[in-house]
This record gives sequence, C-alpha cells and structure tokens, in this order.
Amino acid sequence: MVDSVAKNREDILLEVKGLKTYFHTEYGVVRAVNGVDITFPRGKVVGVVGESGCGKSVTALSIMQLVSQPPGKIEAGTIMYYPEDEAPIDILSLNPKERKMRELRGKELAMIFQEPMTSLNPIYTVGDQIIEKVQVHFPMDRNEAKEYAIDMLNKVGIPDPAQRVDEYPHQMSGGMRQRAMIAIALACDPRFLIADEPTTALDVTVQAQILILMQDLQQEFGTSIMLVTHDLGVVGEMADVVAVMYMGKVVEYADVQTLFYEPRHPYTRGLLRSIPLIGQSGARWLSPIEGMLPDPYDQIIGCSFAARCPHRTEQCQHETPPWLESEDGRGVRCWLYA
Amino acid sequence: MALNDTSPEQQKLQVDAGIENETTERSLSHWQLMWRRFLKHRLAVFGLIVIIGLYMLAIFCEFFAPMDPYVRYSQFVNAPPQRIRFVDHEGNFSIRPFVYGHKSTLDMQSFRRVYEPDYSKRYDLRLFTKGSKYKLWGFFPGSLRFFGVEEGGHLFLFGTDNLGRDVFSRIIYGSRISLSIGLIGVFISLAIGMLLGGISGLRGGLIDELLQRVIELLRSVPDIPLWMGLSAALPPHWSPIRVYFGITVILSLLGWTHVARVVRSRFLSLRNEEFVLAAYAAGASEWRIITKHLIPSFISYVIVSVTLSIPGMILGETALSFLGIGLRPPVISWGVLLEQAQNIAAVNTYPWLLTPAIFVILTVLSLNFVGDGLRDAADPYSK
Amino acid sequence: MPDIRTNPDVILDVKDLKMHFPIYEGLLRKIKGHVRAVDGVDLFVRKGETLGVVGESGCGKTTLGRCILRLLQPTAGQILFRSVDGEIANLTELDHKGMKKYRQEIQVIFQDPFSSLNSRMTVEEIIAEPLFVNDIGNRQSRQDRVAELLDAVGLSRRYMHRYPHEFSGGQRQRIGIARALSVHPELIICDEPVSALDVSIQAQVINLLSELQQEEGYTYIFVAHDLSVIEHISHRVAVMYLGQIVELSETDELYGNPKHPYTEALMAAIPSPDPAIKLDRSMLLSGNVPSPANPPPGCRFHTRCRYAQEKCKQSEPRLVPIADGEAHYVACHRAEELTLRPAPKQALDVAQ
Repeated sequence: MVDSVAKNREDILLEVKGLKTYFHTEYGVVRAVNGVDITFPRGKVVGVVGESGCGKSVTALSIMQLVSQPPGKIEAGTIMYYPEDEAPIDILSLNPKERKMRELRGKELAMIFQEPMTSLNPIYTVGDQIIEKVQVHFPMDRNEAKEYAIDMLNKVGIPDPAQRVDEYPHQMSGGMRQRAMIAIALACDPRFLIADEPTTALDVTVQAQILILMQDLQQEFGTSIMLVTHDLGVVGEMADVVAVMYMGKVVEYADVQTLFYEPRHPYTRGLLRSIPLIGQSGARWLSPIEGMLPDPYDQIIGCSFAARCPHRTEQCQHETPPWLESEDGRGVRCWLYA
Repeated sequence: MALNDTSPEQQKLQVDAGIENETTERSLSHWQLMWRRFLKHRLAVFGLIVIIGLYMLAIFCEFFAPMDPYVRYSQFVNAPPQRIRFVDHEGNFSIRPFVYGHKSTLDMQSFRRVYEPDYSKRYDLRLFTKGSKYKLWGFFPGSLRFFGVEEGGHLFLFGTDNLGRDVFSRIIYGSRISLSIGLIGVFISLAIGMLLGGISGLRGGLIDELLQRVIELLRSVPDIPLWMGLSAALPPHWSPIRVYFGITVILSLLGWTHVARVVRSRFLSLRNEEFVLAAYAAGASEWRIITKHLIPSFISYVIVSVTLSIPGMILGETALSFLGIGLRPPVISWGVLLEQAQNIAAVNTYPWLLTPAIFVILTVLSLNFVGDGLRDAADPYSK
Repeated sequence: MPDIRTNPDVILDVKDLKMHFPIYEGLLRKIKGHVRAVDGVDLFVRKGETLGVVGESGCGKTTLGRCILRLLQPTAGQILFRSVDGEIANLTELDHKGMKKYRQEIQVIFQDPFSSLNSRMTVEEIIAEPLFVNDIGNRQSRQDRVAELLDAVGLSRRYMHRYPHEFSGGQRQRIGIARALSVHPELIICDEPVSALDVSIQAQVINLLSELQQEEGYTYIFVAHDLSVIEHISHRVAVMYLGQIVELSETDELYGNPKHPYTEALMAAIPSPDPAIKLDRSMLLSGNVPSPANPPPGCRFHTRCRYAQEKCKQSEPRLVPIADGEAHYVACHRAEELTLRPAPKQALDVAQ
C-alpha cells in the first residue's frame, strides 16, 4: 500500500521544499503558502486537499511560476524538477518570463483550471488553441498539427472531433469544455499536470465522466498529476498519495489508504469526521471541527490548528510543530507524534 | 465513520471564538468603510480638496475676487499680470507683499501698448480689505474682499483683457456659472436617469426595450453637433438666466442616459440577488424593497458615475460658450472667457488670456480623481 | 399520493406544478419558446420532516423552491399549504396581498452567504426584517427576539450591531438562518444552504439545522445537489430530472433500493472518500442534460438511459407508487422489472 510514496530519488519527478509565497496587500501580508514541502512521485496522482485559503491553489501556481507579482511574491524555497534524462532544474531559479521557463511551462508542466470558460480563449477555436501550442513546442506544419489536434480531441472523448476542432469554446457544454481544456493541457505530452479543482464547476454525472477520463489518460500517458481539490470524494477516487494542507502548510502526507483509514493529524481526522458518508444514515450528528478558519492576515504563533484542535496542549500554542516523517514516507506535522 | 452523538451545543460555543477578542460593539457601516478606503486614495483626496476650494471660490466669488470683473480700466487694456513682490526695486525687503502699478507707453512700431512697472506706485496687498461695492448673490450689499489693494490701486494678478478688465476676478466670477452648470446639469440628469432607469430595470418588458433604444439613439448622436443645434434653437432674445438654464437642460439631455444605464443594470442584477429575494419572501412591499434594499445598494455606483459626468458637463458648457453659441457676454463663464482667447495673435501676445483653461483642466482632473477614488472605495468586498 | 385534505399530517401538497419561462426574440419580443424549468411536479411534505430535493443543475429544483415561496408565479398547478390555523390555501391563486399571511409561515435559507445578506444593514436589521415588514412587536420586543435568535443559531448577542462583511461564510449562513426563524415559520425552504461552505463549516450548519428541527419541529424542503448531504439530512428524497420528479421515497429505501435508472446513475457517479469504492465505468452516464427548453419526447431520461426501450421514447411515464407500498413513487416504464444497484456504502472509521 505504502509504495505509492516515493522512497528513492529516482522515483521523484518534482519536489517542493520550504516554499513560501506571500501576498503583500494594503491590509497586510497574507502568508498564503508558508513553508510547504510536497514530493510528487513519478506517474502518480497526488491529491492536495484543504479548505478555502489553505494555500493549495497558490502552491500550484507557484510551481508554474504563475503567481501574479505583485502583490504575490515567492519568498523562499526550491522546486526541483527531475527530468528523466537531463540534469535537475530548480524551477524557482528561472525567470518566469524567460524562454527556459516558458518552454518548461506547457511542454513539461501543464495546468487545467476549475472554470474552463475563463481559461479557454474565447476568440480562437479549440483546434487553433491546440495547434498553436503544439507548434510552439514541436516542429510540425499546420496540417500535421491539425491532425494531431483532432487526435487529441478524440482521446479526451469529444465526439465528432473532426468537426469539433473548428468550434469555439462557447459552442461547447461545460463538460466538453473541460475535456477540451484537458486536450490542450495534454497536447505536448507533459510530464507533470496540475489540475486545480478540475471538476468543481461540473455536475456530478459529468464530474464522474471527467474523473474517469483523467484516470484513463494518466494510465496512457504516464503523467504525474497534482490534483488540487477541496472534495474528499474526488481525492478518494483519484489520488495515490494525499497531502492535506491547512493555513499555508502541509499537515499530513501519506498514501491514500493510510490517510483515509488511519489519519493522524487532528485536522485530517476532523475533516474526515465532518463529511456525511453514504450508507451511514441514522447518524444524527456530524462531528464538525470546532471554530472557524483563522483570518488570513493573522500571523499565528505555534500550531496554526491549535485553536480548533481537541488535543491541543500548552506546547501547541507556542511552538510550531516539526515535520515528522516516518520510514515509510508518510509525514505529519503535529506535536502528538513528536 | 463513527456515529458521534456530541450535542452541537458544545460546538456552538466555539463558533464565536474567531472574533470574540474584539471588544468593539458597533462596527463600521458601509459608508464609513467607503470613506476610509477613499482616504487611502491620495490623488482622490487631493482632488477633493481642490474641488471644495474651487466651489468655495464659486459660491463666494464676490468676496474672493479682488476687483470688480465688469469695470473697464481703459488705461490698462491688455495689461500683463503684475508680479507679487516682497523686495522692492531698491532691494528693501518687506514682510507685506505688494505690487507695483503699471505705466504704459505706446510702441510706435507695433502700435501696441507696452507696460512697465511704475515704481512710484506701490500697492500693498491686504487681507480683508474694503474694495468696490458688490451685492453678494445679488442680494446682500457689501464691500469686504478677501484680499486686495487699497482704494485707488489696481491688482491684475492674471493681467487684463482687451477691455481692461481683471482676468483673475473674471475667472473667479466665471467659476460660479461654469461649476454650477455641471452640478445642476448632473442633478437634472440624475433625476431623469434614476426615474427612467428605474422604470426600465424594474418593469422590464416593452418599456425597457423602448427606453434602451431611445438611449442608444441619443448616445449615437455626436454631442457637439447636437448641442450646437439645440443651443442655436434657443431664442436670441432670452435673458442670460434663461439661456443659462436652457444650456443646462441641453447638457443634461444627454447626461441622463449614462445614469439610466447604471441604474437599470443595477436593478436588473440586484433584483435576483438572494437578499432581495429574502426580503420578498419575508413579505416586504415593493416600495420597501426599492428604497431599503435596492437603492442603498447601488447609490454609491450612481454617485461615482455622477461625479465622473460632472467634468463632461463643465467641458460641454465651455465648448459651447467657446464656440459662441452657449452663454454670451455680459455673462461670465470660463467658456466665455476662453472665447476671447480664440485669436491666435491674441494668444501669442497676451498669453494670460488662456489662464481660464488652467482652471478648467484643474477642475476636470480633480473631479476625475475624486470619481476614481470613489469608484475604488465603493466596492464593499474589495478587502 | 396522500391528499392534504384527508391527511392532517401533510403540510404541503404540490399538484402538477409548472413553471415555464418564456424566451423572447427580436425587437417586438415575440415569444419563441419556453424553458420548462418545472414541468408537472407532484409532491407532498409531512409536518416536521425534511424532504430532500436533489438533481443536477438545470433540473428545476431551485425554481421549484421559489415557486413554493411564491417568488415566482407558477404557470399552472396547485400549491396547497396547511396554515397553522388549519386552513388550506392554494398559494398559486394568491396575489401579493393574499400571500402576506403565508409569508411568515414559509421562509427561506439561501445558498450564497455573501449575496443573501444586505451588506448595508446591521445584523439586527437583517434578522428583524421579517418581523418589521409584518408589523410584529415593537422595537424592543424585536430586539429581544433577535438576541434570542442569535443564541439559537450559536452567535454572540454582541454582534447585533455589526455589518455582515465582518463575518465568515459559516457565520453569515447562521445569520440567514436566524432571519428565516424570526417569524416562527412552519416550513423552511433551504436552497443549497451548505454548498458554498467549507467542509468543516458545512457540518456545523447541517447540525444546527437538525438540532433546530428537533427542538422546534420545523419542516424543511432541503434543495441540494450533494447526495451525501441529502442522505444525511432528509427523511424522504425527491430526485428531479429536467423539471420533473423521477423518484420520491423514504431516504433509506431510495438509496438502498433505487427504482429509477437516473437515481441509480446519479448515485453511482458520486466519488467516494472511501478509497475502497471506485467509480464504476459501466454506470457512467453519457452526454449532458438536454436543454429544458426542448426536452426529449417520451421519458425525458431515455436519451441517456441504459435501459431505454422503444416505449420509453413514445410515452411519458407518470410518477406512480410501486407495487409494494404507498411510500415509494417512481416515474419509469420499467420500474417493476429492473433490478438496480443501490448506492455503495462508504465506510471510514475515524476514531476521536
């Protein structure tokens, strides 16, 4: 079970270490990402899960170097990318606007977003958007690229791809648009795909289609996926490994079975206890986590979850808990296990 | 999942923890928040101060103008501005600022009068002096001026025009017409715009469709030719006051369309907001929903749009008067003053005739800054 | 279905309700068609129970709620409501004035904790508004009631003079709940009340609603798209598809013994937090929900149904009780012959 978590260097595709991304607003500093370490094993799906404001999306944008600066700023950390037969690259050492980063982005790293309507360009056909991207990265003429685009649309399950290739995003339904966006993202066969809440805007039956499509494509292309979501169901369905985030930090990291059946961090346990499960009717009360999310402008001393934690001690309120990693690769940030 | 029977009672107590530590009982209302955000916008605050200053000048122009703007000093035609001095021609320093009078000679080559300071005539500047008599707002007789020189002297801060009248005082008097025309025009367009936009947005259907077409039609006509046509239609025998109101109405005839659009779109979007539906579901009357929920929710946007449309009105008046089809002398407005600066030769030799333009630009810029600041401050969720 | 006139425990009885929105075209606003948002809905609600209404976007569940609230004037049908004084009124026949009496008895909780509160009003004004517009009590008694309600929903009384922008989503939702409760309603329409909230906050609000029901006996119509939340909170569930109810049953029966292929597909599409349960590819629905402006003939679900036969394309099935009881209604020609899969049971045992 535990083999999903990478133990050897060769198994690692991307490694985020000590990442800090702050937003300097006129009301104060928001420490959106405040020391995040996540390892992305090759060919696996890593679910990054947390509530709004926990920093999961900002982590994703930081990896792509797409954080808008200002107000955002990557303050510290390394993001090591290990290509199969090239020297490792620290993504953060690249200038976000320069060629090397642009090449990496799109070809090696790709991203799909929650709202396909706003992330597809409405004035170009879906085909044009794939063709443009492919031609930037590969030496293909327009006809070849178009053939390729049709092939990609076919792969993501869009019916009549030869006709759909000339359609504009607004002519498609929500589910079709999300498929088109996946086709664009996968067009250059990226090694690492970031999916930021890819199914949140979709209805449950369409969501199921897209989740299965992503599973199939992941098998076919062997892409590593960072799946950012707040939905524990989507994580349970898709992920091999899960990182739970709270207030800009990863609080627990483990393979999916371990995390869902033997959660350690009180926050993870709280989350799992607060969702209603099907087939458990008769449960009169859910067990919510006490209190509410802290203000993003506050700088918290000690453990950021301490105020809501049923197991808090004096120590939790004063000292930041260390990252405790066991041999099998799972980790937790909590004084209970120190 | 464990069946957990913890009563929610205990959980409830924890919910408040978040803002428990704040002790203030009353919080800032929307308007207070808006004001705070506005104060953070430096240019807007600067603009607001300038605007308040200009309107004070306009309201009390009789008091602030040092000279009578209608009096012709025939021996000082087209005189240049006088310099305010602290040091006299012999190098003696004086705490009290003063000006030297003009003396003129005729240049026999260009047949123009050439002015030089007359060192024998020194006029001290004084605050709250007695000047020529005036009637404040046409009613209250007085002679106290904010500043000026002693009787018999003359003070031409921005020079004089071709009839020998003080340009500075004329600008100050002109601001009353120019600034008020924008304000009154905007209030007329606000009234028409709120009414028609409100009907359009609330009733919808055919009325809405018709009003939208009318607005599109009005907006597709270029402003200046339309204004020209309309003001040319004003009867020439009208008194200056009636022309003034005529021009105001003409300007607001186009101005209301903008307000109407803002009001209509706000009504349309707010009508389906959940808090409005909740009020309906509570049994609130249509009147209460409009006055208590809808109007307060968009009034700040209307204020922004109104602020941003005052400059257009001021420029409209200036443009019409400049073209000679708006207000006409003896009425003083910035447009009327600029009309006299139309002649290139005049501008070249008497550049001070252009100073009214500086006031127009200052006003328009300041109002735009204020409008921008208000717009940024109006968004309640921009925290 | 049990009729409201003969069954004293029924509080609301909706009969063949239709809400069609005209689609206009051109300058003269010619009507070129209708969006059949709600197209022949029958349902009943018993006093003190929670009826869950579930379906995908565009199925008409929100429109149904707004018709019952009479925020919309339905095109056809009846909404029979039993008032506290025992009288039965047909809400579709009432005008603005006539509705006023019933507005206090039917209240609403909305989805969006941000747009559902007027940001220009204080918490006190917001919660007291239903009291104010219905002329209940004086200023002092209204203030007392607001304080009482803040206690009931778990907020401090000290927040009375604050403005909504200072509260988090969960707290705002509590304010919305307090407003709905202010006039002691009988029936509360909850329109996706937790779907905009974070997971940990969602559970707090669900518990609050359950607790209030237990104490005060409120009746809820709980509209949501999340099948797990619906299962948790509802006594009975109505499944909607394209403006119609396709299945209506006791919760356990519906999840354990679904009779409509759409219900089956919907439940099979839920991604499970329990990693042992994976999506079943064979159960995937193809395509999208057809447009409610132009629903398919016959059974509306036949275009996506894996069990569809010729008769499903021809005639429209009616919502009828299945053979073994009065409690389970389904609108499917093949309901009796099909054996459908129940919702997979999810199990995570997370100890404290």
